[in-house]
Amino acid sequence: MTTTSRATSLAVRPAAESAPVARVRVALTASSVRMLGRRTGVPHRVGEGVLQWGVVEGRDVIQLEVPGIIGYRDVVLRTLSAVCKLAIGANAEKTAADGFSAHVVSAVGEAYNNIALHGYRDREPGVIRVEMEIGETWIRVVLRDFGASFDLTAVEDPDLSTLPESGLGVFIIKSFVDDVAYTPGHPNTMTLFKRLQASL
Amino acid sequence: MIFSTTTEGKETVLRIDGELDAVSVSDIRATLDQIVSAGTQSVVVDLSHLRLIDSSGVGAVVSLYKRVRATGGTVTVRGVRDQPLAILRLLRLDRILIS
Repeated sequence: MTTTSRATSLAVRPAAESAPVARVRVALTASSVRMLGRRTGVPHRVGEGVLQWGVVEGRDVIQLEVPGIIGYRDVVLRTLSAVCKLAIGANAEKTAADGFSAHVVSAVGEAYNNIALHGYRDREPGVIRVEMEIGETWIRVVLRDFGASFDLTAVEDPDLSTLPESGLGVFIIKSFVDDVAYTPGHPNTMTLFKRLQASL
Repeated sequence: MIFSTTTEGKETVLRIDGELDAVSVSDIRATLDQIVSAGTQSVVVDLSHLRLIDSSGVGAVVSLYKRVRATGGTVTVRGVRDQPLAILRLLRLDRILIS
């Protein structure tokens, strides 16, 4: 596993400029959004997400754009779980399927939390764009947001012997994928890469 | 997330189903506080039907463990599997929490 802050070579157009072969809208109800605002103490506004599957610069990718609020976390993770099954599909004999999905979903969940709970804290939440791409033996997930940036390399591993109750998110991300790259900017971009065989 | 508590003698069983994460953890905090303030000496956290946990959920379980231990009690986790088990193993909590 390596952790870098180098610029990613990915250059994906915004969702609206790509040419999807399938596109659906996903949205929480207004009452759900209000309830989440009360529970988390963060004002939530009604919005909707867009899920599309298409070809971006010659690559088959699945893109999901959602409002940058914690309520859409489950939408992202359930979609990701389905994509993991696609990745495992032809490689079922080569990978520990349950471990692979668990690791990818856990890492992306923590990355999503960081954006929704910290990146967009004290500001109007923007969007979170999630791009999922699978190869023959790997999955790449890219998260883009327009919130506050952070320095991935400055986050130290927790001392697990002290039973920490917080500060575990980045450790989970780094531990469960093979490569993490974070580029601060507008948008901030986090790229997570995991090989199927890594779960063996 | 759906959760429930049942008490049998001196043992309280807290069952948590579904997802224990940044979205849902605030729902269970009052119940965790109640278990601690009641001075429960033996707490079993049944995660047989927990589908997903994140660092926020882990924080809540660890907080419960610490507070009950501080009063001389015990907290054990049972039935955990799949993604939640992977998280507990990574954070080396399996050897502490799983009976």
